Amino acid sequence: MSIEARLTVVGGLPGQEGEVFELAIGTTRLGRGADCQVRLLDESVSRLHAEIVFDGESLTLFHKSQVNPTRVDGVEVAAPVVLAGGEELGLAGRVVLRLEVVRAERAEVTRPFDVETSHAITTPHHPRPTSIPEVRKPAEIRLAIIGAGPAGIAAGVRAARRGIEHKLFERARLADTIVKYQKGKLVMAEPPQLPLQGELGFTFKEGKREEVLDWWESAVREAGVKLALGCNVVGINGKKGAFQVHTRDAKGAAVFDATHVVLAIGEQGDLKKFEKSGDDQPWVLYQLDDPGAYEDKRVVVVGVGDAGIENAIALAENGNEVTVVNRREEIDRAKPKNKSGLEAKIKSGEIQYLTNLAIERFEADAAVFRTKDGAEVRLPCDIAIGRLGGKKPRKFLEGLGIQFPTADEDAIPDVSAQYESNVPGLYLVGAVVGYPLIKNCLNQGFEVVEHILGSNVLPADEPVLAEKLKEVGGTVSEMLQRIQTTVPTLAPLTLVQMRSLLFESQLRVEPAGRVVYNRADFDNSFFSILEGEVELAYLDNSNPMQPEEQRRELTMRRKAGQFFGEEGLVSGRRRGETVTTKTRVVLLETPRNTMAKLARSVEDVRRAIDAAYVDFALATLFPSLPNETRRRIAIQAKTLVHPAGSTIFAEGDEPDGLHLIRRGTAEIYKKHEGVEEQIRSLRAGATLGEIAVLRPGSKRGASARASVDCETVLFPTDLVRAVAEHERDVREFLEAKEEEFRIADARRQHGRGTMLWLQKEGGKEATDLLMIDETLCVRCDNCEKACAETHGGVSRLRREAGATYMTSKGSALHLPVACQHCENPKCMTDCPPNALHRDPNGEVWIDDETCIGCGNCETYCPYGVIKMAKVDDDPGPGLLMRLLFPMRATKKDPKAKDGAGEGTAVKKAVKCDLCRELPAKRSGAPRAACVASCPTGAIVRVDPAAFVDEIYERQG
Amino acid sequence: MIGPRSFLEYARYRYLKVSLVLLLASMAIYLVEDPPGGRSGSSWTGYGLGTLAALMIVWLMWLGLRKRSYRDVGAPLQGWTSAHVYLGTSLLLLVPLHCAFEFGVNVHTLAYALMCGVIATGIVGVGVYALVPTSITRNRNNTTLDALLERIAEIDADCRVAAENLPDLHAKAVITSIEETRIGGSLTAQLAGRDPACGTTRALRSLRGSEIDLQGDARLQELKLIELVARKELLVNQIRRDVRLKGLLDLWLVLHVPLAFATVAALLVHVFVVFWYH
Repeated sequence: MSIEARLTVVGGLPGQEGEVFELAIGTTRLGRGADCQVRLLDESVSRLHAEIVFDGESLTLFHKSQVNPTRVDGVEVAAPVVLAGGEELGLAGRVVLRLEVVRAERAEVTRPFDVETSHAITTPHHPRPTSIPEVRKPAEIRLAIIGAGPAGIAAGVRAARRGIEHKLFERARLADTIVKYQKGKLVMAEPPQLPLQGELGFTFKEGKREEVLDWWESAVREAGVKLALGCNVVGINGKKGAFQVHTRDAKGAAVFDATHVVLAIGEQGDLKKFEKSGDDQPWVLYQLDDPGAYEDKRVVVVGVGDAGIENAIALAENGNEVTVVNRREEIDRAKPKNKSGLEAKIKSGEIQYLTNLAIERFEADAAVFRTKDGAEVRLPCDIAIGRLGGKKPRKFLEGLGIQFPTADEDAIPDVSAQYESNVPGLYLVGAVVGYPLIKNCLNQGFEVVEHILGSNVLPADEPVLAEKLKEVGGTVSEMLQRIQTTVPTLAPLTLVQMRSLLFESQLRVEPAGRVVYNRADFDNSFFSILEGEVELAYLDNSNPMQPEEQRRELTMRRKAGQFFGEEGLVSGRRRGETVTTKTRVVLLETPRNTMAKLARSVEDVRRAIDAAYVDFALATLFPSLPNETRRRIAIQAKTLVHPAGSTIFAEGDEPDGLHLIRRGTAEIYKKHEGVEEQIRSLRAGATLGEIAVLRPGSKRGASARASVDCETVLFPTDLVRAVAEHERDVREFLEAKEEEFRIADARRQHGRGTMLWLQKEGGKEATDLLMIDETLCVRCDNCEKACAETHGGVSRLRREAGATYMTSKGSALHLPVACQHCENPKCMTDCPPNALHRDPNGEVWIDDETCIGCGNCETYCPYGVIKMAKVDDDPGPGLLMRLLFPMRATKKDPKAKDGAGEGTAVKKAVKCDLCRELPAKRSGAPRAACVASCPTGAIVRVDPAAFVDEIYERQG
Repeated sequence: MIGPRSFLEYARYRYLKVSLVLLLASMAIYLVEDPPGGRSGSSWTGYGLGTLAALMIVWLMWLGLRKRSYRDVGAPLQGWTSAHVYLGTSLLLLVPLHCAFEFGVNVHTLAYALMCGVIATGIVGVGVYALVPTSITRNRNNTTLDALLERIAEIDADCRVAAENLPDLHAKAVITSIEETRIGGSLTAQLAGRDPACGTTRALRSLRGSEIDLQGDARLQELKLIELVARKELLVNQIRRDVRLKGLLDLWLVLHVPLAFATVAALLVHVFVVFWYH
């Protein structure tokens, strides 16, 4: 099936009025230039003003002019726009063209992804609606849209424009999340390559909070969206075609009858309530908009998360009498800064602080709590504020019958390509189905209404996906099908997940004999093989005493349908293998974060990756194991999760088996005269607890503990003994490990504290530590100055802060606060635009072009090395100017927390990037400006593991 | 090599060796050559060594620029410092070889004297750099200046609260401690490392000498206040020592840099005079 498209000049160009341009498949250029197929002879039109890309199925408009705007139906467009036909394109204010699209018979229209076909070939792991939407008239629909965020607004506007009877319910205000932003905050339009649906009906691009709110408010007003603000949806019953949406607002309860329901409720969820008698009094609050509104009041704040503490401190500073109630013993969920702020106020007596109290009820002028032993505590108050955290919307959704694929808290409900959930007639869009970015939300809000009407709307990401197929060929739907039929692991994915996967991934076609990546590279991505075969070359790690360069190289093959790169995904370690293509291959390369998120929400994907990981680990440790033995062991292995600080096994325990660390770091220690002494620290890929496993009747000789959040694969004792009996490799490996342990223990007894200290201070996760020998440091701060001068005026290291250790040799080692490029960078956990990257050498860096300044990485970093700052790209005055006018020319204070204040419009995340933009040394090693600018050579970058050995060498 | 080593040891004493070779070669040439007019600054050896020394001085001054060229991709700054120290010190002998040990009361000898001043302060600097950093670390005791100042601010706030229900004498002592405690100030104050007229010391003295007989809670409050002020005194003195030590680290530079510029000025006069009058 195909469509035909043509452009007609309808206004603004008297000389060409009525001229018709047929659009050919490919790129059509619109403009004044002689090389344009659609040549428009008007001064205001740029030489190349816009382009339309037509692939026979869809049309995408790209605005190109630097000078004058392009409009679609009067709305200015910056990002690419999908055109459906019937639009009026405005070029540079005057010229107007009409786009006409002639389609084939409606019945032959191909849907972006045919649901039925896909279900025939895949095996979904739980039921999912399979109905093909029928075409409906707007009058047949009564639509309830819940949640007036970007997705809800877009759905509301579309429904209003299509003449659908509808209501948009919102428990707070229109775009409440954005309303809550601080004034003037920039709202980003991410991801940049994603176009917006052309007929969205209103503007969205990067802009200030106020502008964005203004666009949306006027869109809602102009379209005539029926709003119900301040209205809570408390329940939905009925079925497709006849839903009853139960709501409650200030006026009381009501019911709205709907044929279809769109849930665009975001992921924030409801604030938790006290749910005790008397909590409906007006002075019982769950949110504090303006602490300045209260003065001389007796306030009880319940909850010691960040929100509770911030409220309490602000209220106390405003002269209120504040009591903070902690329902537990510890303050463990607040940022350190808030925690110490609260502690200071408690100490100074400005805030009264009570712990281990449970709320019992509210009286007319008091909150009543109960202690652990059952005694009542009555706190008279004028205001009570509950900051009890948010309730994830999962419970609410499950209450509606919506299923989640896994119990994981990150799991997202499964929806069809039309965003329909497993409950027919209930549609989910936006953040709640894993799309937190505004552009996605807007598109999905638009699309879902079109889908409900049964119309043929191509998803907005279609042109982006089509672009990825350039090298491979075929249509998007063919490719999605091909991926799912070829790679069984990806078969259970929903269509929405597949589209998202392809959006984030790259398709790579490589000839035979090409290296995909090398062993010891630090790399992010995960590869699925769609075609061809690759060879994995890895080291025989069966003899731990053998130096790495002397180890034998082994190979294994992986072919179409399989994947590789799972080790990096599971452990975050350097690559353990070199991968070379053996034939021409087609690879789907997916960033680590995308794949990790997928594994968290799709059980089958996680299981497949885990199994491959164990199998490969066993192959490197025990190369001589026959395949079936390896598989037998892999099946019996269990994955255990050990939170940071928890014991993996204790000295004297009966051995439970051999552990393989798959993620994180563990430490082995012994108690010596009541004092814990660490023997060694082990990273992902290493084994633990080899000693007692081999000999029946023996006990654990030392304890093991997770240094950071850690996961191990446990091979039970009986299994290991049974295998070791027949497999010499396994026995020899375990014996060599015993010897290694003795040597490590001898070193411990030799009494060197450096390693202990280094590990205590965070070296346990570092791949690259910045270290200062304070006996050499002359405190000139040239390191900070160098860093600031080479990084937009903001130093990424704080020399003075950090821990210091006096070695027995008399030198003082200091670890300044700077990024240590962790093995498992926590900062990379949840970056919405995937702006955090990891280079093959291990450096973790933030792309400030794509960073949206959300601050997630800052929150996740346990070492406080990421800060939010405005970065100034201007290198500043030259050296001579700085020398001649030191006062005037020093435009930046390297210690300033905020940078120059004039650089980028928003604060973005900054941290050490190992000077990746400076030219590297001749050896290829990065050249850090701080190290190169130290006059006395006090500051160095070290690999912590190598460094400990160096200390032993020098002192031993 | 992984861990840090002193700039003096840089590249296994490369620049110490370079300087020694340079000096030995210069002495050899000086001793071997026997110019017709006798050994002097105006012999070819004299001109040669003089030119070399002048170029070295220009290069030594260049360190100030290199230190601020943060994007420099050449040798690390540590190497420059190492070379600066050894080559700079070698001038002490190289220049007398250039003038054949002829000194007098004139601009030529003035240039040499100034240069000796630069080198002497530089040697002091090397010594200071070797000794003071460890003292700073010890005195800092694993905390930062900001943290110390913050702790003092906390104590001040606590003192105000503690003095609330105590007699005026106590309130006055607290105000003295808060308002009349100075850290740093003039150069001498910074280098002194202590302040005999310190408000906190006086406050502590007046609290301990108080003749008001307090009972019960008030007495407990008074004791708490004394403890707070005593702790503050320790912190304040700790910061003063830090300021003093940092001052010592920089003090030699205050002489070294201006003397260096004076040396260059005298050197220019010297060169001008030599070529104008000879």
